[in-house]
Amino acid sequence: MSSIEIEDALRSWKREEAIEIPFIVANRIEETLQTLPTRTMLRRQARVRQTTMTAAVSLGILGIAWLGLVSSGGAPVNLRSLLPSVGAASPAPSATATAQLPSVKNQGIEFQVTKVDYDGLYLAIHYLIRMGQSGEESEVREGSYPVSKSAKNLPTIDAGILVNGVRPSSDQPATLTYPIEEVKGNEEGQVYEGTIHAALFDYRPPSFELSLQVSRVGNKKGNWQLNMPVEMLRNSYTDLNIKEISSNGILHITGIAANELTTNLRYSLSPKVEDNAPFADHIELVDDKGKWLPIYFDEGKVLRTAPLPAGTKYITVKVNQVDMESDSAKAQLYLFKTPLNEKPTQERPLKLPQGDAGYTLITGIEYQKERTVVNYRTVGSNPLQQSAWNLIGEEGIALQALEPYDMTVDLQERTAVYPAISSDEKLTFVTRKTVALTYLPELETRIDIPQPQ
Amino acid sequence: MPDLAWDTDVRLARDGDREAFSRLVREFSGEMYRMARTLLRSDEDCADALQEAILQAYRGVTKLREPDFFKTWMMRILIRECQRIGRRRSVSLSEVWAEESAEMTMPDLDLRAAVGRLDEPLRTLVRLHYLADVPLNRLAEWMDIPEGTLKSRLHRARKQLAVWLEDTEERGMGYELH
Repeated sequence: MSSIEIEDALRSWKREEAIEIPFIVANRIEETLQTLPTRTMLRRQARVRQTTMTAAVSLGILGIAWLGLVSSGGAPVNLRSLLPSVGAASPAPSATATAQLPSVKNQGIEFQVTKVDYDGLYLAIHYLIRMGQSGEESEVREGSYPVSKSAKNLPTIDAGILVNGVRPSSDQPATLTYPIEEVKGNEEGQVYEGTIHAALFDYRPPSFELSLQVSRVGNKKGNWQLNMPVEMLRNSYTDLNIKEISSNGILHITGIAANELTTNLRYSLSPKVEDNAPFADHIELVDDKGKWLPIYFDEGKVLRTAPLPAGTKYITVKVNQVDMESDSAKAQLYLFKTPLNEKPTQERPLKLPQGDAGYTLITGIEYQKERTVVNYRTVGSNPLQQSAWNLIGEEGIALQALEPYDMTVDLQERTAVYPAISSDEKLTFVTRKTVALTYLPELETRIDIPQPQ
Repeated sequence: MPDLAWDTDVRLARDGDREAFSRLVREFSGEMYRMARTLLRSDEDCADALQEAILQAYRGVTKLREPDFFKTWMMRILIRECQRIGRRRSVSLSEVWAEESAEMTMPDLDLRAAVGRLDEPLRTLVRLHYLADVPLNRLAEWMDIPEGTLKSRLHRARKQLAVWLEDTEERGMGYELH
């Protein structure tokens, strides 16, 4: 080819079409902007050794990702449901076949794996940490981006996992930070326990060699590496044939499988709407105490949620509908920031906008010695998502609640409990445009859970 | 965003205003994404590059001497970041073809593959100038290289591409003869 032909060929490459920013990019840009530090923190960081921003922004993402539904142009995805959750499932005996579980000692700290559960998608690694001396509870690591204040200012660990030598999910950083809880203190030191949860989205072998790599425990950097074989849990699976038919559509439930990690419902949902109607229908599960089961993943034919609490006698399957043409559905990640300028009360609450779903009223703040309690009430059609607001402290850091918020369906007055906050600290509430939900009660159904004999 | 609002926000951002900086980035994000997408294979990589570029820019914006230079300065940071990620990825030719060959003819495939073989900074230059249609004078600002130098580099790139593509054609004819 001649140079002129090359030039012509290259010029024909030019992109003619306008390119819209895809959701994954727009979301990352917004989350990065939301977690930019204040200038004060930036100057403080400039005096310490610089590390990569990736893990810190991931923590910012964890904080922001408590907020409601996110639409990717197709079915809405519950972003919070994809977060790793801390806390073991109900302590039923596991059918996982694992060899003797390993432990390793480094920097005077022993790290021991006590149990590994894997259901073919979700992995839970339970562990104990024995410290030779009292662990310090520092949350700001030298050289790191400011992180969320952990619940109860507990120590945390940085850990990463490899499944047959590869990272289980390509869209996560190599290591994540996990909080740990003190089990007991004794004369020899302190013992902590925790659970690492991971979802093997990209690679799900039925059995594999697991590598756990811990690079930090509390304020101690080190190298704790453990390897162990893992096999898949056996599900308890029950075939069902439950059909609910109404003028709004057909819900057909064909099976339920439950284990210590997840509850899995096999179903099909055929709403009766006009062709091209912009509605998206979803199901959700509520246990027999009236609490939502957090949704981990909805593959369209299989809904995976948190495991059933021990002794659950039945669950309720509810069907809701979202208008995908609504302002909040199209808004993707749109955040409202509402500063706290005066102490709210029941008579003069602070109103937090939340788009089409409604709003949340902050009805009180109690500054106690050991904790700070925020009282609130959601007003709208999507209380579960509406409860997922964030509280940002003066330094621009998202404060982490001591307890997960109560997910009881019909609760009116709710509380969020944080570590002790100074009454002088300037606080900002962050909410997002949240979709309104229309429930279809005629498609609701109850599934009895077989009880052990 | 009207020019006055943009200029005001640049000055505010330079003075340390986080919200002003965020407004600027949001306003500019479309153009930045299009540029990143020209240089990187996947949206995940574009998200990584944009994230890192935003953070680097935020750290350095208070040292920006000329507010008028903000867009150029941000693009420079982003280009460097895209190049860094591109080097890290080292996508194989077969992956290139798998992603981009859906509706292309063979000569197009050869040209794209050949561009992918160029060394940096020629590869970035060719993609930005031809694929993203960035004028040379703007590229010169973004890459902080005189326009004349860019022209000679483009000439060198075209010559190299012509050699490679001529080789490809010859090999193709040789195969047919057999």
